[in-house]
Amino acid sequence: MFEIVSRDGIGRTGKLDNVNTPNILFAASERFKEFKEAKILLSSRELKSEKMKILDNGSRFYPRNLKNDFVIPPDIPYPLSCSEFFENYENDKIVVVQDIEKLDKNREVYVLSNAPELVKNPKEFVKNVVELRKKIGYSKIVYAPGIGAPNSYALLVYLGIDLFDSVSLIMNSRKKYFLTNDGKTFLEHLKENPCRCPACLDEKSDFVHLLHHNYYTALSEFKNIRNRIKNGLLRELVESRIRTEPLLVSMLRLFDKHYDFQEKYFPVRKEKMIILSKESLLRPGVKRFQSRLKERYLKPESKKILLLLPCSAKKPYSFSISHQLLKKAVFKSGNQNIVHEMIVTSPLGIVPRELELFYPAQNYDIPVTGEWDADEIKMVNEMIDWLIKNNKYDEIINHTGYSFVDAGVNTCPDKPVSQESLKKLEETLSGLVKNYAHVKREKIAVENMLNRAVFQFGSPGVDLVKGSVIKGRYPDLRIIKNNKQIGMLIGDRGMISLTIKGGKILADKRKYFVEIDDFKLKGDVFAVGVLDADHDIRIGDDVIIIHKNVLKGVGVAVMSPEEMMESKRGVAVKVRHKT
Amino acid sequence: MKQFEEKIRNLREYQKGKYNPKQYVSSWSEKELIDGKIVDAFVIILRTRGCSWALKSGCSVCGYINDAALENVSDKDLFYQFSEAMKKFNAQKIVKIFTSGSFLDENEVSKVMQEKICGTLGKKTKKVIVESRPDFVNEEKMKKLSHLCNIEIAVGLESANDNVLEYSINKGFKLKDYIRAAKTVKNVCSLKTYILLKPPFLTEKEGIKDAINTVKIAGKYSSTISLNPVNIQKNTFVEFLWKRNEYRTPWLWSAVEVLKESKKLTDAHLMCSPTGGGTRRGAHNCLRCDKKILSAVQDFSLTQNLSVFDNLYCECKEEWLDMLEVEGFQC
Repeated sequence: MFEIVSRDGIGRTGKLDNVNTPNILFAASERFKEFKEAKILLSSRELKSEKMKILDNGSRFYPRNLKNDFVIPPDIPYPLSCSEFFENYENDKIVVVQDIEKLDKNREVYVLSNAPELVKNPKEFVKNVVELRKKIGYSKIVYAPGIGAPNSYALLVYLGIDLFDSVSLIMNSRKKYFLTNDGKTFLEHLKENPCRCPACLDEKSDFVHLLHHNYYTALSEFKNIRNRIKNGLLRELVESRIRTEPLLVSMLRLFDKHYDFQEKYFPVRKEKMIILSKESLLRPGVKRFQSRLKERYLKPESKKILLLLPCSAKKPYSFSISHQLLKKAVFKSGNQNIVHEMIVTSPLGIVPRELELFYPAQNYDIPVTGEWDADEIKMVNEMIDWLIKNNKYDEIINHTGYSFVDAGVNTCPDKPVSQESLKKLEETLSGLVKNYAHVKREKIAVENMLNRAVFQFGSPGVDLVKGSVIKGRYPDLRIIKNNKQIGMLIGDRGMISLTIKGGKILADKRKYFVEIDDFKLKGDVFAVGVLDADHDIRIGDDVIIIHKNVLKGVGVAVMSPEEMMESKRGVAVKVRHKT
Repeated sequence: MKQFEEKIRNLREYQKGKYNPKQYVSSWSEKELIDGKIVDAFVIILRTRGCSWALKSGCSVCGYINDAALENVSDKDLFYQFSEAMKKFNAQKIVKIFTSGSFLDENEVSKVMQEKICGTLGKKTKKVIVESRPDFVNEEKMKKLSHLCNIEIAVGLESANDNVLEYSINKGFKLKDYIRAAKTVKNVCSLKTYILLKPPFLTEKEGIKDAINTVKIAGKYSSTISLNPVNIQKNTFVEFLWKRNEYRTPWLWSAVEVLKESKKLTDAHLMCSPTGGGTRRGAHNCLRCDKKILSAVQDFSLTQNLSVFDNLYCECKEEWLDMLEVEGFQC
């Protein structure tokens, strides 16, 4: 039985009969003795071992009849050029997949045929892996025989592959390749052995020692990968590992193009986002922030003057020294609440001040040199253009200090926080804001909160915040209606946490709901009890728990809506309040 | 399987009029055994309309149809071919008359011509070997021809596994068809059986197993068994796979393994002369040790002495042994 334990996009860790996944099946045969660190064995004969085993029953030409919990059914291994002969070969647990179209959903393990041939063609490989996952759903296991090495496992796991085998390690060892997380080297080209694994400690260079080194390296990378998934940093690991081989970079770039497919599995919030490369600009968390702006965002009503500002290394931006100086200049203009501060930044493009807490705005870290590359410049200008076209500002002031931003009046004679620039900003703003009636802090606080609520929940966010007052000290703010708390913006989380009161408002709109069967909520909501879930829900979202439009509680989604509905195991919603 | 038949057919070039019907395909002399003695054999390949099965679809590994006239060759032209080829005949003890199809198929070689050629050769040589698919073997025909010469019929069984015959080779007949023909032949004259090593979609290990298993069955009827490792012939299905890196011709180690194991299973004379051996299109190892192995295989074919395989080793044997154990895990 497979249970997913933690999720990081399509990549996940799980337990398959108490074995951690992702993991590697170690071939056990006459020549390849059972590796003592192996957790799963792969064999074409009966094994005495107590460990988990997956046995291979050969081909339709010479089928075997081995009995075991997991048996790979006999197939005809048609290569890719014979796709017209493709069929699927299955027993009650495992399917050898050739014809993705015709797959049945009710098996546990899906074996991707022709993986070694596919993997040489990144486009085909990505296409097949995506199609397969679309067809079978999130909670099934994918096993890709014959592929992977310590430098590619992270990427392959990120693409959704759960199981690998030792065959590629064996073949690499036979070719005398010493495998590491950053690629492969001929053993004889290593003047010094950089490894201290148990096999390398022997200081021998025969086949078996090399093979065991490669085994240990692979296993250690799987531990690494599982840790990264638990910490929500798989993407960061992937981006660093793929630097070792152009083919892997192609594969990630091609996979990122399947944004619509993968976005729904990515959490709305993580602790950290580390921007490392060109690929980082296209990661789902970045792209989602931008698309969500385009889908859900309008400027606060009272804001009349757009002020473009540079970003800061410290997050949230407004806690940085530079932004405190900038805010002070805005304050000194005399009518700060009609000025809309908009942070111009890579990789997000633009971040409205009121959304600066929302992931990844307060979580990302990017190398800064002052130099911007063409992709970043294009993206930033596109986002500014979009903003200006879709929102009516009376004036635009460009205080970014970036030479490539040409919108609005430039108020930076030199660095944005130099005495002179700040003075010029203050003076320019003072000249403009005096034409507008004063807008109160209380009013703008509601407008800002409304924007956060809409960014988080879509249009029902309006109902959540409309007519409320905002209390508390930024970044922790409470939304109060009729003396009752609706929800709270928590600075660290960057999102609104609902109360039961708030949940009722969403329940009326039937948004961000998880519908459960008719039972009394005790602890958390388990997937097995979920009947339906709003497709807009993402992991980390605040959701309401309902049964037939009656609110049962509020909590945080742990699974994607798809997984909540199809999975039979695991917590779907961590419950915060019950009715 | 219909789709398989179509795919194989579509890879072929059936271009009529390419050849002169008066010109035989080729001829040569080679070593062969007769009553345990090494003698010279004369081989003639006649150009006929081509194998009846290959004209419809054909075997996945066979490209002999490339040499066929694809239209009927008149008796006159065929006899002209034969006579021309016989000019090079040098009193060899054996003559092999091949057609890239079935000598016993009257659409290729008419009854009159079958008898005329056998009659002619009966007077000139000790033994005549011809090839045929099982369908064309019948008792009456066998008896007639064996009166004219000391004839041996060679039949390509390739594999005794019906799934392999259907899904891998597209042989167009089943094991039972071979057995019927083999029994008929055996009652009249000697039978030689061709066995294929590593047809497509089989792993190296399955290829070995399949060949050994086939020897076990064919050995009951055959006086000679010829093991034929797959080689890549033009316009064939295996060539299609091979060009896409989806098929590797068998290792010579596998041929050695089959010969060693088969010798324990049959009294039939075992031989193997890998076409294109030691090249990428033929059975090969690492291409460094191939000559050594090929020469041992040839020695064995003539002497039947297994000791020629003792002490054969090359580093690439390790890779081959690995392959035998792990290739099957790939799906």
